[in-house]
Amino acid sequence: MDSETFSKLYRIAYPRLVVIAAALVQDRNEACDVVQQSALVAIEKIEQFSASHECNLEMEFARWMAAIVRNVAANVRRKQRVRRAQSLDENSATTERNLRQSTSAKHEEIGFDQNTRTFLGINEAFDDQLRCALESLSEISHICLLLNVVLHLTLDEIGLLLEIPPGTAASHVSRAKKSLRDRLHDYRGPAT
Amino acid sequence: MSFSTPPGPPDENTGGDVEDKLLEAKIAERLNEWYAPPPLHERELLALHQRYQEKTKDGVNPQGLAGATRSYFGRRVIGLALAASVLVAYFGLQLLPNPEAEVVFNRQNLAAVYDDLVARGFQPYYLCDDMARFRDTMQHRHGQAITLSDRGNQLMLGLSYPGGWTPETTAILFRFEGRPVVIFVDDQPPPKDTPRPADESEISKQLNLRVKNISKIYLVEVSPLTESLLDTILPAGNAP
Repeated sequence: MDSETFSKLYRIAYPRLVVIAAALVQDRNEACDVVQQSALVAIEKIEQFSASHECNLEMEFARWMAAIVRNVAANVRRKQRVRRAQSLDENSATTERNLRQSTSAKHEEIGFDQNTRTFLGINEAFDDQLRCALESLSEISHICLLLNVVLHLTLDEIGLLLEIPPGTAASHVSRAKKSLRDRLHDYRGPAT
Repeated sequence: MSFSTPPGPPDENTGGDVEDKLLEAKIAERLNEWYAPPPLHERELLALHQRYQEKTKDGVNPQGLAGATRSYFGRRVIGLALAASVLVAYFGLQLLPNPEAEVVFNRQNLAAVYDDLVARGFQPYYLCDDMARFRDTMQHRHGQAITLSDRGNQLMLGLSYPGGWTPETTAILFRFEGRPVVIFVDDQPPPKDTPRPADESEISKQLNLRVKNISKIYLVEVSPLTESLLDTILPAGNAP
């Protein structure tokens, strides 16, 4: 593959790769770094890429890159966890106490029952809950959900990209959506 | 956008309930806000393109590379080297648009740049076969959207950023009657002494240099042909 082809395929695959990385590292900027790092890994390993003709070259390349992105993102996540664990070890008692106070204060401020929806801060509470709900999803469900909702990929496309059957992709998307709906049940309705 | 709009089998719990639909719409809105990928930066693509070319030019032995990546130490070394190259490329490119970088930027002889592009195979850094994207790139880089009229015997290969009379000069690479032609574009006027063939180059002795101005931008064509391509470049919206 020449460099022009690589650039072209990378450009096409880029949005999918960023979304996959973002699902794993939970941060869009960090996801962009992960994708860039993955591209460098891909360049070094380009000899290992071979299109199997099961699908088109663009999809083959995206699938190959997606696997690299998931590996790089997994390493980044491991480092994130280590950093968090070290940070907690150093300040565990203080952090826990502060966190409890802050959470309690936040709950008092914004409330969680039906009557507090019009309070300032409800959007923040919704976002917090949504983030918690997303973190509770499995990695693969999270990825499938975002590819489906953010990029509008079909279940066939998700299946090809992640090397899973379309039925499995459908199942992940469906469960993820249900899980989010259930976790955010208190926020149903037009009031925000 | 609705949470359940994307194609696929219907979810068992999405039908009928307006409140659920509103909740889904709000979730989808947040997910898009948080996760919609930003556009790929041209400079990132350029850095990768260069890295790819360097790797290909180095003639890295795939077997040797695979062997090196097998060991933990080898992986660390490669990782550090890659990280360093990214940082150098990133910060190097960050400096380009900074006016302070003018101090260290050496204005280049356009014929020498032409020779160098030809010697490197006359391959653009950025393949640009989409005219809308070409127009937007020119608008973004130089504040003037331009487009190309098709003469039938010219082929626009893409864009390169080899520098010119400023670090921001863009080079449009053409094949015209089978010969390489470069049109340099910038929003700064070219110095009068810059467009002059390099005496030491055999190729450059046969080059013609022509200058044209379109609205806010300046074009300098470097071509071995007597016929010019400058007339094919038009302000966007005026193309036939």
